[in-house]
Amino acid sequence: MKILHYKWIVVALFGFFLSCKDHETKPLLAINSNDTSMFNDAIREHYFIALDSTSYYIQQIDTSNTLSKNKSLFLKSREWYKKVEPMLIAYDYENYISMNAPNLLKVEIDDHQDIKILKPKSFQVLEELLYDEEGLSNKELNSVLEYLKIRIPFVRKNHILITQRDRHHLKMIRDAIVNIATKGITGFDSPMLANSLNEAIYNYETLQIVLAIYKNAFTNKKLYTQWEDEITTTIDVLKNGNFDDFDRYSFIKQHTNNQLDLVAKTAQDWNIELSESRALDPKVTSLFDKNFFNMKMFSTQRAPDITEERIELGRQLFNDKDLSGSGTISCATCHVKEKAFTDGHKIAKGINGQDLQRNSPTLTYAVYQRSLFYDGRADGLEDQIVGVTNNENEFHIDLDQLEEKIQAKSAYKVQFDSLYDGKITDMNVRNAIATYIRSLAPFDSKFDRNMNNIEETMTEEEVNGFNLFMGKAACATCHFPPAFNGTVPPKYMESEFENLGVPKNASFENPVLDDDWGQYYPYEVEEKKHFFKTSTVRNVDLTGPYMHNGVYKTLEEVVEFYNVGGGQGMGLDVPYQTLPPDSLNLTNSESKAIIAFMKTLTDKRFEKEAIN
Amino acid sequence: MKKSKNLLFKVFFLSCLGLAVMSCDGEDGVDGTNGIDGVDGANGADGADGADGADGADGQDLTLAESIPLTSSVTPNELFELKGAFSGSAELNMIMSSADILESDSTFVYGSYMDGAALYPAEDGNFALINNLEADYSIARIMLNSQLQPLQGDYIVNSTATAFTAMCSGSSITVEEHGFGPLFLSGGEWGGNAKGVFKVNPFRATEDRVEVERLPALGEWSTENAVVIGKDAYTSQTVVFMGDDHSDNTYPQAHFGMYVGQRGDLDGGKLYVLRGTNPVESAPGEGGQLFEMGMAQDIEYDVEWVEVTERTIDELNQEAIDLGAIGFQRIEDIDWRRGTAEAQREVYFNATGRIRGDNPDLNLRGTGFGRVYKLVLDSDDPTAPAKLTVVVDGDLEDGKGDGMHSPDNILVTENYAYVQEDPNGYADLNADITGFAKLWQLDLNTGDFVEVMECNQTYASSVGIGNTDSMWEITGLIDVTDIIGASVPTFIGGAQVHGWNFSTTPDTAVRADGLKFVDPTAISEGSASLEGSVLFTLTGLPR
Repeated sequence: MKILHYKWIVVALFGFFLSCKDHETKPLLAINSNDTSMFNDAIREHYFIALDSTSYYIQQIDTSNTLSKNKSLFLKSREWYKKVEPMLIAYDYENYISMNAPNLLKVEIDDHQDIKILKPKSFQVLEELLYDEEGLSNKELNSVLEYLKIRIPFVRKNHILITQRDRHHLKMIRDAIVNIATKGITGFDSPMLANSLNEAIYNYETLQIVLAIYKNAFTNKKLYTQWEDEITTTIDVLKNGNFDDFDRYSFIKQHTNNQLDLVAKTAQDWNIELSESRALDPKVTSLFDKNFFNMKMFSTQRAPDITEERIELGRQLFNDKDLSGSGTISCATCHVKEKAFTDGHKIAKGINGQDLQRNSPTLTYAVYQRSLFYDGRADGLEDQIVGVTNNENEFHIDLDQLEEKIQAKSAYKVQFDSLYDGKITDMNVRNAIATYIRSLAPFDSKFDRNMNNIEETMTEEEVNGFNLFMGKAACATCHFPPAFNGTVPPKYMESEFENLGVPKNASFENPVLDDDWGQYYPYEVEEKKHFFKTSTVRNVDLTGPYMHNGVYKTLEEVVEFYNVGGGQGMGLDVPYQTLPPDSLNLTNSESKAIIAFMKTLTDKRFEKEAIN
Repeated sequence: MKKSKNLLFKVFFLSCLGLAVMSCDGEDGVDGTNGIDGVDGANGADGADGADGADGADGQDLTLAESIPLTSSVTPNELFELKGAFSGSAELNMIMSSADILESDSTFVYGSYMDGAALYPAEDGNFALINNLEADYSIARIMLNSQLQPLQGDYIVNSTATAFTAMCSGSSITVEEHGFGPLFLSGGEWGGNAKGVFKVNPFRATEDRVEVERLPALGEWSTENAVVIGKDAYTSQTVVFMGDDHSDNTYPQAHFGMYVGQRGDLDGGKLYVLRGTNPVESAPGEGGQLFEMGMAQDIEYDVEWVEVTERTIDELNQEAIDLGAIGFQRIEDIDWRRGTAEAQREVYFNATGRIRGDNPDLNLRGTGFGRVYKLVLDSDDPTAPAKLTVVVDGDLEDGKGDGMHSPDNILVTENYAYVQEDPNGYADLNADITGFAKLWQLDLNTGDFVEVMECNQTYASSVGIGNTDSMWEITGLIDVTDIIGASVPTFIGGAQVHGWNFSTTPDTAVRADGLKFVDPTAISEGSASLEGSVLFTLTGLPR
């Protein structure tokens, strides 16, 4: 049986190379700008080879093997998995999520009657089982293997690579590039081995193959050569790096951004348009460009366009105290511009100085969060504003009253006439305020300006801090670039929540677990207790005190909290903590460097020079 | 960082015995057949639990003819109460429940969350009931005799095959009704990341249970169900409808999908979504069709089909939004009217609805308590403009549907639609919602909407079956009158008895032989819900 399979793989690989050579003699395949891609068969062939090879090695992992044999089989299977990964993300995202899931419970909630808690059986779980020094449970191993051994052939048999167009394949390449830069090189999905640089190479090898499939479709042959050179160089850089001191700053600046540029040029060369109905703007050529995200796709679908006039109307409403029931507070009360739209309080204060529930989060880059409020109970900014309007310690009115208050002020009438067809509805009011908040994401910090080659001012310590943030310190495995929040690349469709075991006091010696249960409510799900949304790190120099309860006054304390492994690392009982309890083993100078980097993430308008 | 290695997932799924069997198979090689042996190993796991696994294996050897039928269930019929005139004219009889033991197949356990079902004639006057067990992510085949009494049971698709994706509603395809078959389609909805439409041969070998086929051409929706309409509707085409159970908080985006292929072709056809001819947002009832709430009850609206080219879930959903397809709130089950060719082009479906928080946006757009829709297709071309009507609106104050709570499954006969509830927990928001999950009857000719039956959770909880807090779901209702050649209208259906669960009532949520409500050939105990289901016949309801 084994021999048969070896033969099969060899034949398949051989067949594949043959088909490449055959390109010369076959009728020339060409780009189809508005129909199914002519390259689907060739791409599917590679997809199958990679899936079958992933499967081939995983089928041999067995609880009766020696651990070392299982580890080596795992590495081979994982290598092929990483080769198939860019295609899986593009053509079968649901299965990508399932096969590469972190070792954390997945909780799906539709309503009170409908709560499902699912345990992952993924490559990451397998890696933890095989490499966990605490010892291997054959029973768990078997259960994960049983699943993956059937799952991978399932993905192949039930593939959805059928109606793709050339734009899908180019998008596949682009998403892979973004994914490598934002997750691949950070150790996101190689928790025990930190084998991330090698795994990025496997990703790139697939891009190489797909580009080779398209070689003859390039009008500009030089462009294809540029791709070849770029990927070869990139692979060399990755080969020569090691995880702990890899220079991610240069990698993204020199390679990721160059590759995004090549994608944009390739779209032109092929005369195709990548879909604009996606979270990322396909034409942008820098990971830290202001338009990296397609802001329209982070707003309500079909919402009015984001224009200067609507932003200005929103700004006025945002600062208008007359809208609150008491007439004493506006949105700006808790979101003070000079503090990057936070308030400097441990816990936000509502009408009459009443303590609200949690710390005021920054509104900068809030547009790029898929869920709002620390417990994620709102879906978008327009939804979030309803919560503030109704809260009896905040605006303490309702949406009808909000509407009436604005209708009563003639100054607004003119603007609503021209911007919202004269309709002063609560929905339009919320849209205007949300539009203003959406404008607070300029990507013009010192860090961005350096990344975008506008200036060369990053100090060695700051660059080092970025590299630690993105590597050894594992910050970026939750605070994903470029917004450095919990919205997950490369699709940026959902924002993550984590249980860090945050204490209610700032003591590292005698911490007491916070009694805010976060996402436990409203559905009272034990597995969601103490989960809070991952905030953005942008403008963090101005947004203290930190965490959902403002427990830490300084960034030094925050970094220390992560360095000791969160609540669990400090000895607290946090059964569903998602942060590993082990120490990050950061030295003092490393912690300082991380803070120095984070302080380069201050938007230009808030920089000291700008304020003074 | 994405790991938590201390306390999570130290869960033990299989016994050492099962493991040893697996290991031996692993040495043999890597092919799927050996993997099946591994499942038998799981049977061994039961042995370790102290149950008599070996006896179970013997049971498999009996032929249907030798099998002893289960003539009555240990679970009482009084779990359900027929209402009004139906209490005299109709009758419910329990076929079996998770607590029953089949004498000739004692290892078969009827699992958790029974859902979509279909009945097929089998050899010697027996019948094969194909039944989804939603929370076990599996599909069972229960062999029934001519009296619809269970003889044997098997899982023909297990949880590994579906990658732990919930098998929700299902539908039958037969040569008699559809011109090809027999096949069973199953909607893969929540859970394990293999959403879409699954296709199963109802008579497949049980050892094939570890793999299953999905139909990518029908699109990767959060599929509640996929339903093929009758062969008389169109002369040479097969038309399939997909219900997208997409659940949203502010902007409803469940879309109604249609696949059209040549007769019997489920791979090479085209895919469409339903769009209103007035695809704008309007206040409720004012005619905008960007969202369902723009349409009011009993008004016929013009709708059209727009072709989509995407097939993968997020891209397909976005394409539908960009095209202005009607946004519904959680589309559930679908069925079509029986009878003439014209009747077969009349399609019914439910949107189950959702209510959330104090943001009015959601329910200005999507239904809260649920709706029943009627879609009338063009007489010659399934892709030509069609007519859509809300026939029951659960949100309409004092309307016929005021008091309906989350319609989910639907059975349509020649003259009636039977609407089954899966309450979403909004009873506090409408005083007209009373009691427990109900079965409703919609008269397709007069529009009358009446209660047929209600779950009697008060009685059930008094005999230790569930409680009065967790609402059950009535589901899986099919009309088998013609299939079994009965003189009295005969339906088969069931319920998900939420709360009848080993974790809450360990004394009653077990069988007499001590087995919990999980069959290891479907799913391992560690991943199972351990909740009871019931299966019954309903006779005497008009068709």
